[in-house]
Amino acid sequence: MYVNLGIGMPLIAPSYLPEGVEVFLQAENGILGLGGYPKPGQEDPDLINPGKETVTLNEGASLFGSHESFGMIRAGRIDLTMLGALQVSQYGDLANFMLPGKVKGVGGAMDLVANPEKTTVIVTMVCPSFLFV
Amino acid sequence: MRYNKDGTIAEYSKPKETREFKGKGYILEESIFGDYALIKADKADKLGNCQFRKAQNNFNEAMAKNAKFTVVEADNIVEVGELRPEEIHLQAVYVNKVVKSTEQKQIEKLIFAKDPSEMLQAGKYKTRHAGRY
Repeated sequence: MYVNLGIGMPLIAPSYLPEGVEVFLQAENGILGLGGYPKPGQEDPDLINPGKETVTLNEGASLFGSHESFGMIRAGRIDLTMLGALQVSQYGDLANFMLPGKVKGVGGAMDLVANPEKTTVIVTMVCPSFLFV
Repeated sequence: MRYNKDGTIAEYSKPKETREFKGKGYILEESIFGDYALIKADKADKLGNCQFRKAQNNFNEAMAKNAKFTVVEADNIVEVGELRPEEIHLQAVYVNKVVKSTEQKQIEKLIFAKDPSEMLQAGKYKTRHAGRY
């Protein structure tokens, strides 16, 4: 299964993956087979996620450009997308134009939601809640 | 769309062309062209052939191909012939100038893997923190 994770809470997800689960994480800056955060000493300035955080690669990973990455996404090859949002309506309308002081612009969300049946939006309310659009 | 200073609308966006391919609707979004692209690569030969390292490709390849004039900042400049032809990620035809990096690479967000026992707590913290937005 191939999964894309957006900036914010979705990026915490890899740390919670139980061992032995076959999931290939895709990062839109050009990683398929994204691993967890590095151990001290393993960090590499050329290996980061879209949130600019240091990451690692899992066995079988491949690297490419963002244009290729969005090609995969738009082609519907990514089985599940998890993205953060500022607001989501009950109908699944999504507002995530920017995160004030943190992220400018809608980012890859416009491409990721091109296949809405494969998209999950993660937002924080009183407790974390999951909404399927 | 463009706004006036008082928040009223100065100019509406032009309607975009829509087309349908294989039953799916698409909006034509024209490309943005850059006059100059400042590109980062790991290795560049003196002709301008470039190789990216790890997740370095990002939008570098796409933007190098897009701009009228492309400048590559490479960590290593090598002789022509040193890069294996099949391992060139960006071809010299897109590159106008190559300069060598003089600054050490910085890591913007250094994040390390957490101990499994800390993970649950870290999740709780981030959830509370994110709730303020």
